[in-house]
Amino acid sequence: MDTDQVMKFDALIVGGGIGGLQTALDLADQNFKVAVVEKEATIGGKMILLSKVFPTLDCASCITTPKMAAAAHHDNITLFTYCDLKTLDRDTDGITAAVTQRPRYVDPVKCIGCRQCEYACPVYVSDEVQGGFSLRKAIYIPFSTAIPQLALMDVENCSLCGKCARVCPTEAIDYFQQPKDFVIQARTAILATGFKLTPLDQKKEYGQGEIENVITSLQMERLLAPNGPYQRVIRPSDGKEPDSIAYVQCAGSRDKSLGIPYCSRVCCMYAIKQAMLLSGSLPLADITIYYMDIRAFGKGYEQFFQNAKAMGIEFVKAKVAKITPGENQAVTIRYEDQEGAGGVLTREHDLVVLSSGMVPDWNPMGVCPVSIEEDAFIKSVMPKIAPTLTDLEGVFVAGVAAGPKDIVDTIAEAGAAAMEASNYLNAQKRKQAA
Amino acid sequence: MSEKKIDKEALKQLRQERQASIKHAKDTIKTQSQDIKKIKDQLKDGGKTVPQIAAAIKMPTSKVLLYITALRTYGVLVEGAKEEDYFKYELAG
Repeated sequence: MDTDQVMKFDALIVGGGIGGLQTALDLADQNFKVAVVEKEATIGGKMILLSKVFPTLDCASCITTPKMAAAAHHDNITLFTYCDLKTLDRDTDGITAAVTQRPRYVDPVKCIGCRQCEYACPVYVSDEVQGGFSLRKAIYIPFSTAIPQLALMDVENCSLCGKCARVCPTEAIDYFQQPKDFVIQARTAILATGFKLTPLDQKKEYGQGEIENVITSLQMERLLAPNGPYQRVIRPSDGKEPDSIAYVQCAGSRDKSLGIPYCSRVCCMYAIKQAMLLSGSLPLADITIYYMDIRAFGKGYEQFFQNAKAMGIEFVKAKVAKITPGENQAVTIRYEDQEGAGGVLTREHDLVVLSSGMVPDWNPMGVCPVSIEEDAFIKSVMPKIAPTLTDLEGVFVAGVAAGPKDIVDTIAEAGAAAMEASNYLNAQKRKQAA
Repeated sequence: MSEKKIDKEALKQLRQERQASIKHAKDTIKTQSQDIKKIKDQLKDGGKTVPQIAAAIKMPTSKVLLYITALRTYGVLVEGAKEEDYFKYELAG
């Protein structure tokens, strides 16, 4: 492996989701040279996979795609996708990050993103981008607006049949590609490592992921997205258009039994948003939200909640105790009714969505000497007045890496992190000049 | 690189190294090709819903839908008319 390659930048951004991209763009526009290191094969993070955003119901990809393109085409931004951050350390000279470029088995210079390899490949593999509701090929481009538009090969599922190499018009397939190590030196770093959802199989009472028509909120985002797996909302078990859809709130948050005592802050609003979108796409369907309490705290959020009620979405104050398979592939929900007549009740729905909570997508332990909180999110040392400051000088944090928050707050915090990093870089320059 | 240009010896060695995953992939291709053929055969005489196809070929409905979704993505099938709560799927072209 080639370990000699060292690249120098002003700022290193870890994570190419909406928070990382906003920070990168804000710094690059101030003429700082920025490197973005992303572990996935494309930038865009979770936001590019959403259908619409609350409370404006703007198309999520219409906001994310221009930012992705702006970052990709910015003279001051270099994107490193499909890369693992091995270490990120700080010394008197600044930040040094060791990065490994995982092999795509496709030459990034030659690949033109034509997808002929994908169409020729004979192996179908579960497509995680589509929530596991569709199949991709063993060589593939993650999705149509992925950046960069480069194919990558999933060698675990490749039969080495050679069909991709035979059809590739630019001879880009390289079965022998190896991981490549390189070093990024920067004067500051921003951690924008985002979140993942609490896993579907975590809670025994909710079926542990074994009930086909119990899905996560991100899977529902894919069903609602125009470029989703079915291009409409149907039940994943058999393709039935659902007559009744339920949301189970706090399915992965505010639950000490899961080790997640905190509120994930976005679940109430995304459930309401999805319920409103479902009302539009399935006007005859009954939509029920089982909730403990609704937390509509942001600008315009309370009105959004009231609008949802006015649209006929049913809000049931209850804690769902158990979810089991029902008849004809329906799902039975057993809950304690906390309003109305009270008592333990059961109801059947065609499709149930678990409003899963947010947990950090990255643990810095052993990689970067930055502290984390008890909840495993990165510790902010001045959460009230400078929430992007970590306990490692010159290293800042943005977005959900520091704790659950919505897109509005993530983008605002990304701007704040860029400003702190910019101040830090300018102060260093002044020190050197003095 | 075109297959002609690939060093045959190196490719042979790579096949040896990846023996287990290649076998798994080949088995998968075989099963998937048979399953897909069964689904396409069912649609030769016109569109059918997922439960109709599943019942005819004795395959779980969720598996049939998964294949149909993938085949639609790659342009092999298209969505047809709705029959009660289900959509029919047809061969493209």
